[in-house]
Amino acid sequence: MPGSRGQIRVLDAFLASTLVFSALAFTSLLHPAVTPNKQEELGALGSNALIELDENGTLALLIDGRNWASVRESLKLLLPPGVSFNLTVFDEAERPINNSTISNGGLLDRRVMSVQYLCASQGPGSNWYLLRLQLAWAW
Amino acid sequence: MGVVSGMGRVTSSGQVFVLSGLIIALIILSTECYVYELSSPWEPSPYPAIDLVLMVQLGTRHVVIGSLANVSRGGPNQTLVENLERWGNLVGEYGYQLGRCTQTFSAAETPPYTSGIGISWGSNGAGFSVASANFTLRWSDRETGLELNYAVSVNTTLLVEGTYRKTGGDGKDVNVTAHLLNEEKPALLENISIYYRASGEWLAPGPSSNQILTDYGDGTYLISFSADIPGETVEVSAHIYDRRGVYARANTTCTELP
Repeated sequence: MPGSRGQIRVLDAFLASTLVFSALAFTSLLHPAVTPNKQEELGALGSNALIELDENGTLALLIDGRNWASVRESLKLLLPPGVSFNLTVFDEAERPINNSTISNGGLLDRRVMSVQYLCASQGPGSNWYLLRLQLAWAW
Repeated sequence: MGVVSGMGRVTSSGQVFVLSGLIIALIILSTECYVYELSSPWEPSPYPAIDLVLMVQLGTRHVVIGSLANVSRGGPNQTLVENLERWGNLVGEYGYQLGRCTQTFSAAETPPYTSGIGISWGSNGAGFSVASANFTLRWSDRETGLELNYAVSVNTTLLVEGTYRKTGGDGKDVNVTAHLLNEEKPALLENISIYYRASGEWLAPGPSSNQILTDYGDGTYLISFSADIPGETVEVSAHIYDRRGVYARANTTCTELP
């Protein structure tokens, strides 16, 4: 009898510790694979791409011409591979004006970094836009 | 009884053991879920202040260029000031995702500027359209503050010189050389029109005038044409739009070649 009592105690202890460790193991899955630094890097990549495109007024020129395909291709070139993006362009009244998606893939189920950018046109019409660029690591 | 009681104690203490483990596991899970929810980055996140400065400076420069293009095409002189006020409001409202951002400005008022704009389209072979303003950008959040003073000055300068050779009667072969500069650097044309003065009127060379435009690729353009221009004085006028849409013009009197 003392032997079986000991076995039961060991089994209880094993069961309890299994519960605790499985909880710890599960929570480690909840922790993001992407560290905060990687997210900041994502934001810097996004704002750098927009600044580079805006440097000589090209960005606003493309938006003035509603040339969404060129905006998408430019961002694909300026952002490194492995970065998914989705750009929404708003006018001054905060109405979205891009009638087609400016994206290179889905952002669903990914940790998204959002960058907001103000863009002014060099044209005499003084058109200004508010851009929201959402970015995520593709893997 | 004793055995049952003993076994009962063992079973009861085992249940407490497992129950405690379960409670600890639940606490760990709920704490982690809470921390995960708090750290979820779906909210817009800030990016470095240097990017804010670049974004606002670039936008401000574009606004100044756009306003100069507008005024040089005949828009009201107050356009620059009005646009910069509007831009400042937009920067304050949307310029940064966190923190407080304001931009103030003072448009240049010393001659040749009025409300930040200077237009001089002279008859001495030089014409310029310029805009200038000083800015103060302030940004702060709970931890840091930033104040930056900067100036934006843009100009489109056109320099024109011309020569002509008599071809018999009133006929003359005219060569006009135009140099275009943006911020004192060679710039490219979007469009150029040449006019000559005959009998007190400005006329454009007609289809039969064999007008040829040569682009040297360094902001220098040579325009050649033939026309009947009475008298010994040949005055020409060049009207241009640069690639930014800014208009300028300049007049000059051509030199006669033997």
